[in-house]
Amino acid sequence: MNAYKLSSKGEAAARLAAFFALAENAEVRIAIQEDKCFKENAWMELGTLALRPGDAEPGYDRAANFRVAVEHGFYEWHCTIEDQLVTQGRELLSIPDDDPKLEEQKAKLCRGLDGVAHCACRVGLVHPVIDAGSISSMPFRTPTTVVADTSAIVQGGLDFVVRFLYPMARIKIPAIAHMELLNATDNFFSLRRKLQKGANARMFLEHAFSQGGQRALLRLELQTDTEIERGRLGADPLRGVVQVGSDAEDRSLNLSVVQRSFADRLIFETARQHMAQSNQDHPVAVMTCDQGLARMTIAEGMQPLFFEALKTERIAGRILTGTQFHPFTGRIYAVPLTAFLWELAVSYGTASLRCETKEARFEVSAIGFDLPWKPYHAREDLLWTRDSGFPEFTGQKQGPEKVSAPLIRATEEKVEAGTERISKQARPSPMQASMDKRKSREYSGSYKFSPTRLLKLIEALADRVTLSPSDALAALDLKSKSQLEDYRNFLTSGNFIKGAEVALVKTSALDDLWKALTIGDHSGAAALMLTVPSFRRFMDAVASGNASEVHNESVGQRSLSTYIALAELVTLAMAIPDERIYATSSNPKPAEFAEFALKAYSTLSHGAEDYVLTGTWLEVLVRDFGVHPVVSKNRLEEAQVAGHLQRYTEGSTPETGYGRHRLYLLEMKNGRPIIRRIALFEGDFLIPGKSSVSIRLTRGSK
Amino acid sequence: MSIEVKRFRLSVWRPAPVTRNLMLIPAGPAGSQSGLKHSEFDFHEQMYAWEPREDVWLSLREAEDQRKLRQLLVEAFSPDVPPDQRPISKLADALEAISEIVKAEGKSDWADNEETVEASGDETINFRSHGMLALHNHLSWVYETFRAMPGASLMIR
Repeated sequence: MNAYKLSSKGEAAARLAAFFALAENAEVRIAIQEDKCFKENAWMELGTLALRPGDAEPGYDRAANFRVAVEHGFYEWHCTIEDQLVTQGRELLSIPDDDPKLEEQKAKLCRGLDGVAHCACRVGLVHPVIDAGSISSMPFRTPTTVVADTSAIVQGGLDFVVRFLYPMARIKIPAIAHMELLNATDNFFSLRRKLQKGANARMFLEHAFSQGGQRALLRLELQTDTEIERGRLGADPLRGVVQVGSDAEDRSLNLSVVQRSFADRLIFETARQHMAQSNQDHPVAVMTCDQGLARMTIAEGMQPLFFEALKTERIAGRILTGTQFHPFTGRIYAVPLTAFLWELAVSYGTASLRCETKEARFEVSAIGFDLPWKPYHAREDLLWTRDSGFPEFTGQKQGPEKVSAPLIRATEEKVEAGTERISKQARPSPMQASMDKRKSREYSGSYKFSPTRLLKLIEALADRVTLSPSDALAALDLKSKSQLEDYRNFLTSGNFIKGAEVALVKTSALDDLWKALTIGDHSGAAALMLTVPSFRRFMDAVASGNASEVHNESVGQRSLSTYIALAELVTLAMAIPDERIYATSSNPKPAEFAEFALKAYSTLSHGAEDYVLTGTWLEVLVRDFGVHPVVSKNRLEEAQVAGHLQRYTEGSTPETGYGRHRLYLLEMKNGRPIIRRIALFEGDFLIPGKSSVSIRLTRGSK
Repeated sequence: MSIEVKRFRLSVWRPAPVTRNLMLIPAGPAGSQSGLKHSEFDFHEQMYAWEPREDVWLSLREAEDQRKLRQLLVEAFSPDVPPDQRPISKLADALEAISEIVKAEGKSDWADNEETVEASGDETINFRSHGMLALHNHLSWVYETFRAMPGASLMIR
């Protein structure tokens, strides 16, 4: 094992990519260790972990592919069943069968083990089971303050609120919650400094509770953009909260415990104080899994945000994945593998991944005999890592004889229609199918690539007649030939290049395309792009208005973002998030556009002369009239100059919540076309040099 | 980027307490003469609605499994079935069946998603997910959240 190194999650992701590259198709076990209370060099097994990187993306080498999987949650965690964990725990914590306090020790062990489920919940692998009555009001429609108690912080309730309910949810952490965790931290470090016989289970529990809870608060403060409301709470009420524990073990260790009822009351008082300071109709909810506190909150006329206490049984025997569905929007969200490992390491001391067959190991530690801690470690989320059995991973070159991933994708992505569709990824022998297709040279697939790199390749080709593969790779800033495949196949299928085997030889169509792009002739570029069969297929499906056809039959799912970008660049279509892709082939004259523009404005302003969001107005023109924002921008000026309408704009703070409404745009810079992705609602699109977040239109004199 | 693909729409309902007298008035000119009192209907209110943006069936390899799960989910919880015959508890059968399939060797797999994440510049990476595993985890949460609610029913379209 090499020496410990202070690492960021990014650095660890690179090492984990190397680890999984070596351990591909081999079993990888995940385990935790508490260095003081476990037997020496003993580990608690939490099951197996499998990375699912898929085939390499075009433009990414193998190392990058594994790293993407680590960073974007493409993994499965097969959680060991609970009975095994308890048995293991008793062995590791040296709890004998004849221990006079066996039941008490087992209870503490089980509570400590619940911390594994708490880790999973805090990072988002599972959700807290929230009161059904409260779920019905989620996501919040009006700003709501959530006052979290200690159980909500430790068991993942707070992280759920931040992850899925922010920014409508405002967070308030009562001082007493910090104090409870600080008290638990003191207890943990007291035990760590002087561990007495029979206190192993207690220490295991205190470690998970205190460190896991403090990490949740640090994450809230340092890693999220959550605004935390901090109320003032005098010191006096806190004085009587802590007392020496009545438990014999607590007394002998001189540990302090928190008077639960007093602490709960202070949590509630914080919420009530906040309510008194807020507007009368501002909802405030106390988030807790403590039934007593929840009942008191109801009895005092406030709403609890109650969730069930999370036990290990919730995750035992289950397969949890790093990519999950958002509970309210249905979108995919990711839990990076490093986030999960970091959480386990902080909560228990050390987390490890181990591949026995390859004798490889990766460890991440938060605490240890010679592992110091500094505040900047918390600020930058640094932990100590070490590994063994695998070298630096620089990427696996793919030889020319190997059928590349992009080709497999391109031919695989013809999807069967109908309800009995079978996974295209899951079909057997894709390699053979790919080989057959390659021989026949039919470019019937769809391709995924970076539009910016495609533009660079077109520019490089426009400057000369032929381009060797190595020059093409240099132009694209790529390393292996296989990464060139999707670019080459796309251009070949549109007859922009020929003779693709030895070198890329441009045709006159490529010169025409480059010329159209350099003079900003969107319609000319669009006409040329439509000679690419896959792009034509995509646009036909978009024009049909049948979302299912676009999705299922036109191009492969993984290529969809590429084709949307291309269509937006040549102004043929635009995607509105959470709706669909709209065809935008309409190119009205200024007078006709003025009518469209006024109708769209009137729809939004309900006949009044108020300012409306420019982004919304542009989207209505897309949705209702099929006019692309670039066309709207040009026609708006022309219509104003011609006197068909008057436009007034206002700059203000852009509305939050439209961050995903973005558009690929072709622009000119230093005489060369470049691709920019603009945020439609940020107000810097419509009028150069003038903020126009909102717009107001009136009919002109003509 | 998302596009509208209606593949799987789930909603949880429960009997709605009606505190005032209600009347259903059919639209059209004859509406005012043919009002129906609320006592002639059971009103249900929606507690939760959810629709994944990805094709959850994509991860299944075998048509037979798709058929089976569609039967246990889409057909069993169809709006055509009376609410009292599609209680949340009935979801346990589907969860068990999904669990068996995802744990069986070679019956399901990960797949690329339509949803992308930006890596650097205009580079995008497609998310990957195991649709059935992610669905199982989500349905388990729905089941645990609503199973004890009196009269609650599940609808899947």
